[in-house]
Amino acid sequence: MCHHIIQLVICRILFIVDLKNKDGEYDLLMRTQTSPVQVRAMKKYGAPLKAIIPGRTFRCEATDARHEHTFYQLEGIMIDKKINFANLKGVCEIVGKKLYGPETKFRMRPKFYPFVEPGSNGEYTCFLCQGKGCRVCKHTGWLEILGCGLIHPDVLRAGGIDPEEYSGFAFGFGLTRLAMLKYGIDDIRLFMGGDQRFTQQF
Amino acid sequence: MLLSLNWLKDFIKIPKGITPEDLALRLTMHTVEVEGWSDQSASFKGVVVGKVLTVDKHPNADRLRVTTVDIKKEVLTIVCGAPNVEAGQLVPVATIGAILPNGLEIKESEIRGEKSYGMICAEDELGLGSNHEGIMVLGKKAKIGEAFSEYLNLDDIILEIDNKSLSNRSDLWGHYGMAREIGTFYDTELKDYNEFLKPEITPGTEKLDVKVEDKKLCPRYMALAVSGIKVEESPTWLKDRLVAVGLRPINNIVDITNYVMFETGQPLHAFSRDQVSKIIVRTAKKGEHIETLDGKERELDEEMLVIANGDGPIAVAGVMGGQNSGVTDETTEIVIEAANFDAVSIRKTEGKLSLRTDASIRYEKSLDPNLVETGLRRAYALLKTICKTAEASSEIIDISNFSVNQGPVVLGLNWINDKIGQEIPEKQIINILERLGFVVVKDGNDLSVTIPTWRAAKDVAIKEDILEEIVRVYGYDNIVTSAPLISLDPPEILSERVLERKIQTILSSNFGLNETYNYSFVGESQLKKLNLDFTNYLKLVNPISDQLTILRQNLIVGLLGSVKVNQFNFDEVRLFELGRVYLDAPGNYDKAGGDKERLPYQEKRVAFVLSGKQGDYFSESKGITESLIKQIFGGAFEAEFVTVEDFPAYSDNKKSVRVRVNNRDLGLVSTINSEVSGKFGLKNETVTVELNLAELLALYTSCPLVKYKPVPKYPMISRDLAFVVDSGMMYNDLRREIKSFDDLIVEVELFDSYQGDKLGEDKKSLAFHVIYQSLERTLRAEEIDAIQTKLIARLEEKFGAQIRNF
Repeated sequence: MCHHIIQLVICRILFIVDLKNKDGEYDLLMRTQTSPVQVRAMKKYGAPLKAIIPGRTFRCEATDARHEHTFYQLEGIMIDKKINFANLKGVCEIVGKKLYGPETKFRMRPKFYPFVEPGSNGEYTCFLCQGKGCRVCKHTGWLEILGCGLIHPDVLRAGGIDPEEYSGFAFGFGLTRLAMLKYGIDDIRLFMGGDQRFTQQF
Repeated sequence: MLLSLNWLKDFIKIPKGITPEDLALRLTMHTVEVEGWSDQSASFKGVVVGKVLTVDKHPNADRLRVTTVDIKKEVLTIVCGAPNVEAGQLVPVATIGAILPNGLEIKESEIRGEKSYGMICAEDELGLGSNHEGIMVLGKKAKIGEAFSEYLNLDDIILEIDNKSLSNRSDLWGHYGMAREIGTFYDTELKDYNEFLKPEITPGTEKLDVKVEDKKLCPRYMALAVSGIKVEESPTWLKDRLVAVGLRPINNIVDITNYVMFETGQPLHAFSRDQVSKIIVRTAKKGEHIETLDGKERELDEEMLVIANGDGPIAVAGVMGGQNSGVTDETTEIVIEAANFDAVSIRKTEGKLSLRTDASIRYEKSLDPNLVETGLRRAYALLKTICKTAEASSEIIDISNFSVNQGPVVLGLNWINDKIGQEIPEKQIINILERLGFVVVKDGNDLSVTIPTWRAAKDVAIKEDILEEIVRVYGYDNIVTSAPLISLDPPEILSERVLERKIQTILSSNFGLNETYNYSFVGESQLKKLNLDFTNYLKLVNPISDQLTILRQNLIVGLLGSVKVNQFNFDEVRLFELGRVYLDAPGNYDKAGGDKERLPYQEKRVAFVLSGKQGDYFSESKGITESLIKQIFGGAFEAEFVTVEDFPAYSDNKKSVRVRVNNRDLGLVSTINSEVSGKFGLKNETVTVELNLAELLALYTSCPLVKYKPVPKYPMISRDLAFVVDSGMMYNDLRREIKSFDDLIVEVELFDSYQGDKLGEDKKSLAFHVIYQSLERTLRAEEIDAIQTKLIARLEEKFGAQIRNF
């Protein structure tokens, strides 16, 4: 759960908790991503900081085979005095090789996320076709896995870290999606379905 | 959003040899995601213009004709069924191998004994309309043998951009902005847009009565009346462009407003002059209605911004015009509106009306207020070109209340390179920024960068934003990866995680339980079936189903649901879950921003369920719990089971116990009672265990290390004792009493539990190994007999336990 003044119309994907603050506003929601933990971790540990943050996340969406309102994300942050964009790329590359094997290639392209700047998407060569193109990667050879970037100075500041002294990167991905890709699971609802015919396979 | 390559070429030269694939890839890698592209000419592959030379009757069919058609490289014999085919016509001919839009593949065929080598097409067969009356007869400009797509001027490449990746870039919602990006990464000149704003507006003398009441929601409003308008069909070039980007041409005036929007990104609206004696930009009044251009009656509220005349609303500002004020075929004078509206207000209105339009999609991204003027001038220039008699009849209205922060932002070249981790040449940095429209002044080792207005609205404000511009145009792909230089500190060990892993391993490997996840949300109806009171549960404002309306306060509800999922497929259900419950009480975490208020308490728990008809699941659950505790704490703590007065209302009180460890209450073993089982739909005996992970963790972190005891030098002696007790008696109470009875008793193990007719109703037999040992000497039998006699007497006195003879 996290805390935010909520503009109901703008945030269509938020689950809002029916509990008002002292000003009579809704300000509690089920977190849509693990990112709010970044600031909490910064406040608790300060810089330098290296952390991995897994967790349950929520989006107010109707479910079907490809959509689930409850799923898992994982993100990593690294903050130190000389962290740069090339480091972000280096670490994400290692993450990919660890996940999908030593031949895995990593590609970044611009993508807007409000808590990073510069922001990027991270794609790995498709582990099924090794980048040749197949149904799973929609014939592009690449799988879009990550969101990443250099941590926005406002986020560092909110965590009590001076962005002029320190910099950091963050990356995150959907664990549920990752597992679906890895095992070829075609219905995301199975993860929260409690069916032993599913759980006994792992 | 669709982009036309021809349109982009109005503003930039795309280097020779650049394929659409390349352009799509470069845009994706530098700017925004291109979802795909298509070549218009490919849509009519194999269809050419032909001239009908002869038309003869088909020998075997009255309604068919046999024709010869000249397609320049050859003359084809084609059997045709259309009544309107005549010699001398120019017609579209689908040749052998062509695939028509409806999927029909043209093959050589024989129709009633006559060979046919192609097909003369009707409009509907080409996907160009619904007309199937006869073949399509082409105009005189058609050239024999030319590709049909060429005849239709279909020579464009269409790129499809992912709208979501444009959400922070209001400047890219028009072709000119996109051309600027493309020009930047191909490093080619972008044409000055002023060239497209000619002829300039020569204002008229009429006054326009315009009043902006809410300048916060409308930072800029421009308007111009234009007379001499003749509403008619747009010229072909304009229609082609609109069709290429997925719009339906309507008439020259509407088409021009759309054209300007898709070129500059600035939405425009044209009112019929006779409907707007007065323009008031204000929020709607309670109870006001408007019929929008889509023919729907819409209710407005006091938060929505509208454009009104003296009588009432004539447009929902920035979203859609009203039916009452639109341009009609009879309109001779129009008022062009070019305005800027507040993005948040537009979003709210879109949400309330469930209406998103090409205009509102742009406004919700925060448009540059300076673009308003560009849009108006461009529209005027186009009007003058297309509608020769058009003249500005009013003064130019421009009511504004805005400022954009263009900086400058100062950033050091060293800072840029440090943040990238790689040196990009200064010249290249400056060139990238200048191509994007930033103004760069070098001052020593620093760059002072002025932000162009079209990027200043929301997108670029700080040096990190400018850094992104440099890196993305340079190419994320061109950055050489490097490992971070960091101190190698050992990570802090998170005991909570270690404990969770331990629990997961024990429950899954030792007891064959499967881990599962359930939703954090439950429904009131489920809780009712469990006889649980949910008045203090946290609720969701916007649940997506009535099964998921409130936040769970235990893991049991979910696990019982899982039992139902599985009970028809499995003889036995064995599942566990680690997860949080959500209580309406202050928790451990502050709300953000130094607020003293706290987030609700979100307690972590571990729970498991056993259900089936194969065993004594109550005993097994206790056994698993006991073993789990023993293994977690390495024997330092043991689980105790105690009965209490008030078990949850779903429990069978006789087969439920609370779990205590080191005098702390940790949770509950609970057999679901038959009433609840029935209501909930559980088929078999079901036992649940739920333990508080925070309590377990507190014990775990304070758990003493196992203390070494010297290995005994003297033998141990085991005596077996069996007692008949009340069936409700806890074996643990008995065991504890025995164990603490004498220092020489070192271990007590239950080895049998029996219930049967012989013992009498409500009685059971519990049999123990009682182990005696001394560290100092070998024990004598008499010594042990004496202790045992006293022990038996004590147990009889305290518990009414009757010694049972074997």
